[in-house]
Amino acid sequence: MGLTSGSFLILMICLAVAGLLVTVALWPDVAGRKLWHVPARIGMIAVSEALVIATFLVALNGYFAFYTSWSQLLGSGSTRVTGTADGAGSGGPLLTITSAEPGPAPGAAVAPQRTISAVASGPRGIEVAGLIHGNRRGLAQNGELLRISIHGPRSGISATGDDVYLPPQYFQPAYAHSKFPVVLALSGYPGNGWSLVKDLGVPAEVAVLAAENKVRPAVYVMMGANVAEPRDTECINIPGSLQVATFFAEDVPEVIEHWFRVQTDPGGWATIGYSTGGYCAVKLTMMYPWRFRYAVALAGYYQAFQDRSTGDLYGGSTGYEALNSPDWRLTHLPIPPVSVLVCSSKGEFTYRGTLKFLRLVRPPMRAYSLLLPNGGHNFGTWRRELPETLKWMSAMLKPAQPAIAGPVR
Amino acid sequence: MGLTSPALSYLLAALAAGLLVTIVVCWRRLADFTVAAILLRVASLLTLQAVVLALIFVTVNRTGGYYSSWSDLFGLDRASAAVTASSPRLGPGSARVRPPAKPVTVTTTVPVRVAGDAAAKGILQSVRFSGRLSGLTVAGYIFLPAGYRAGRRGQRYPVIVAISGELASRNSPYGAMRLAQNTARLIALRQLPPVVMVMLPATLPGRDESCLDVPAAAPYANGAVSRPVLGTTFYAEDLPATLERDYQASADPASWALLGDHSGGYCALQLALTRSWVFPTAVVPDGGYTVPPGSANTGGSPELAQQDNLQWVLQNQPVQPVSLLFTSSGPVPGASAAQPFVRLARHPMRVATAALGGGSWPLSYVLTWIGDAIGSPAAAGVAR
Repeated sequence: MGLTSGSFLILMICLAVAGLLVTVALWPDVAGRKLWHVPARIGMIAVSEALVIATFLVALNGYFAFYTSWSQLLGSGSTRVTGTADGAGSGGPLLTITSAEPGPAPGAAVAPQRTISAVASGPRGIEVAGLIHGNRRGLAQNGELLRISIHGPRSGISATGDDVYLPPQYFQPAYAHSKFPVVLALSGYPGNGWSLVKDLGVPAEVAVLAAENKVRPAVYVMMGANVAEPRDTECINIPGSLQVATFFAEDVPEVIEHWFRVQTDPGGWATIGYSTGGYCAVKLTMMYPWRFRYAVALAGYYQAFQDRSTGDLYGGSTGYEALNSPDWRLTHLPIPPVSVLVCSSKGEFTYRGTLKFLRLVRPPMRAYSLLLPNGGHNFGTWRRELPETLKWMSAMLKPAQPAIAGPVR
Repeated sequence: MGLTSPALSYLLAALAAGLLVTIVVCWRRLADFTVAAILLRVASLLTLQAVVLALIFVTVNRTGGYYSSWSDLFGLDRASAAVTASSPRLGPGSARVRPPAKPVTVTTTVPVRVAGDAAAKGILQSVRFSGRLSGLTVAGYIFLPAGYRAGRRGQRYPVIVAISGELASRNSPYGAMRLAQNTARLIALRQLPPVVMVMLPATLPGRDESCLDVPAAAPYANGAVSRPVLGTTFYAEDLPATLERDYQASADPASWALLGDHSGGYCALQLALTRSWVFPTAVVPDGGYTVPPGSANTGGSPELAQQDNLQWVLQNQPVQPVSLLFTSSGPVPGASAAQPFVRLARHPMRVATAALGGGSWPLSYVLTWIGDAIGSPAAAGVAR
């Protein structure tokens, strides 16, 4: 039974209700003056409490999709890197599409239920978009939302449960030969592609803004930043272990460029993320400016750290840790020619760090900020920041050029 | 009372404890089988559960810093803000802000001639690179083949990056002029397509002899001692960007190859194994490559030492789609120190070994091998 499945939640609710009923029913049996009756009362209350708390956690996890499977919750996170990478045209596919559905109509939410409707993976260079639905008119109106898995050939890292949103224009004849800019969106920890689709609501917001002509079309790749959950990997090339930065800065763009009609120069690539994803976005853009030219951090932080959920990320070297800190890079290394937009809100623990980062930015890097007068470290706050950040990226990115209409005959 | 104030947690905890004690003590009064008593039992249990859940939520929220206030929790905050451009402040550190140096400066240019072979021509430039991202200034040489015209559109050349400790030597086959002459000869003989060859030292300023991104020893101390040396960044990020922009270098990584001599071999192999998307082809001398040359750069970290041990990398990290050639100066490659690499290589990696030839041009075979690997010049526009 799946950790996030409805039936598991129903089972937990039944257990919690049963716990309550049993306590109520057995109540008179321990109402006497015997000595063991008092611990029995406390024990009954404790059991029913525990069941309610567990139900609450399962419901919360289903809602926020912190852990999408038992293995993710209980796993060691060390089995995700494979010994050998698949080379071009050999072994397993580098991109797999596990499900596809129409993109959200402007103003409508994305479909809350996902069913695996189709599985497709293709050799390199084969157009995979629109294969499953085939309804070109519907696609040209609302675009397409694909659920994907990516296997990185250089890092050996496999990521599942991520999403790609293709805008309506991707399927329109005028754009049939256009190359679209790409936004790589990264979740916080814990989180996954679905957190970006549903909780942050990126495709829904894009659809609304596009209908109002406030953003230009782009391909949105939405991924969990943590490739080995429950370990928090912070988008770092961990010495002697997972090469997570290589995965996001090299493997993912390489795979996306091979299967979708997207731009390949840095002016066509932006990255955005919330919390850990925000740190990843800014750090990857500063470290790989020939790959990403623009970064947006929603409540990001700008200093590398490690704690219990990350384990050792830097091989015990403070020097290596420093190389992964945007703040430190700004004060000790040449400044890369990139633009970043950093967002935070007063009352959030990232606020002071964001202001400090802004003070450190120097040319040729350019910094923009969006600071809310109130808010917290949650999706409600980030959803308020999202429209402005999407507009900012749209204004920065090299747009897809539609074909010029031919002369009227 | 504020959502994030610790007093709220204490209040809820006291409430929960009080409720629990009250329920346990007053248990008998609710033990009847009347409807009222049963409803009271249910109500008392539900109240306790609500208080406990509230306590957990408030405590987790405060430690995680998720919701900052009641209005934030209930979604009452509606304020938005505009994006503002942050004006770059020239603070105390501004003295170090210099306009970026030119990515490449040519200091001298000499023609390349080969005695007895009039067709073998080209030019050899002494250059100084200024790495935009690494900040490293590195002196080296660039060979441009006959027919190369700066600024000519369309033509894009494959690139061989030679990393050598003997660039200044007139006699070593890895000397800059000898490498240029050998390349010009082979191009004239049509055994090598016209290529641009970049020749760089293995030892970078700041003492990195292994082309690694060497972390600072004491990153939070002040002074020059604490600076990192970004060798990998120089070779894998700065160099391709500069050559594609300022020379007619191919932007297709398949047209790029590395050639290392005995001091640059670790550099070349290390770059191919960790930046295979930039350098998919490398030729290095026979060797074990378990420890980077020069001083220990890992600051005692066993994980960084592992990452620098190229045999460990090959054994434990995904095999990269690279083509490697190990050269030996002796006649029997079978006993070479590179055997672990030959043994460990799996698809998609390809490994070959070859003995260097004798005579005046011992590198000829190696260069034609590279020529086969990197192919003919690609037209501009089809790159990537």
